[in-house]
Amino acid sequence: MTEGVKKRMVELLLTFCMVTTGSVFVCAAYNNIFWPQGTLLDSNILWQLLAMAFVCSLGNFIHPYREISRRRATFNKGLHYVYINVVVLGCGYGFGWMDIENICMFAAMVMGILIVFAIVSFVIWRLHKRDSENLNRMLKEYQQAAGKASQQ
Amino acid sequence: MKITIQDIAPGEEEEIIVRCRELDEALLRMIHELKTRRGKFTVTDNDKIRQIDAGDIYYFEAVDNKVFLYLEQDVYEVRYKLYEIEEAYANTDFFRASKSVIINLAKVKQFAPDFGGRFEAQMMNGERLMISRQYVPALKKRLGM
Repeated sequence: MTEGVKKRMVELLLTFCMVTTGSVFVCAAYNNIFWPQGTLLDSNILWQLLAMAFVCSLGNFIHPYREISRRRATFNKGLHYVYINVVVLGCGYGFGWMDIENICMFAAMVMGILIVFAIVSFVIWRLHKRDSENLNRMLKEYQQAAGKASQQ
Repeated sequence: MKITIQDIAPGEEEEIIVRCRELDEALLRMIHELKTRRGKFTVTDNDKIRQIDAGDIYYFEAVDNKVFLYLEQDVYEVRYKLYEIEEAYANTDFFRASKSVIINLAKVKQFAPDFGGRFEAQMMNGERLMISRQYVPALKKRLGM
């Protein structure tokens, strides 16, 4: 397995875990607000959430591993968000989580997607930021070692 | 200091091993010289030939089948392919950052996160260069992460 494929698999797993966690929170809140009698929750919903989180995670493949321009990367980010909306709203309709004619339910679902997407993006950005901090620390050490030698 | 030269099989990577009790300043200097190979780059500047110290180079960039060498402020065209530079300067401060750029790690001020798993290298002369996500694992390895 190449380095790139391994990295993609790790990213996929990480995204799947984060989306699943976010979906459970949104589902809990959504259920309390719109289905207080508990009619939405049956054992199938757990499998439905896992399936939805997996399909959402596949959206990572919108971002190619190969080199792309900043403009293309921005476009892909937007496309990714649209993809997530289509998947979640499609699942919501298909699995009967929401009544499509109830605008509040629809709006809450869209809001839930936005919140989870923002949180997942933030966590990924934080991990990336931490990576850059480590890189900077290593860069300093690298340059100090080289500089110390070149001063002689 | 004893110097031993060993023959290696064709295709095997050339390697220099330093065996010492202590990594003193003289050895550090020698390693640095080897790593940076303080070679000179020959460029033409208005029909004049100029020699440029490799250590003064900030980065190389390929644009429309031409390769340019960037100093702090000046830019020169060089008659090498990017892959030739990459091969010649492997295991030195020069690092392939994307399809079209080779950067000098000694001239990088800092790295910053960028979109889609990429990083941005902020150079000491204020320029910003993209490090493609394909090359990020190699960068981490190079810096010992």
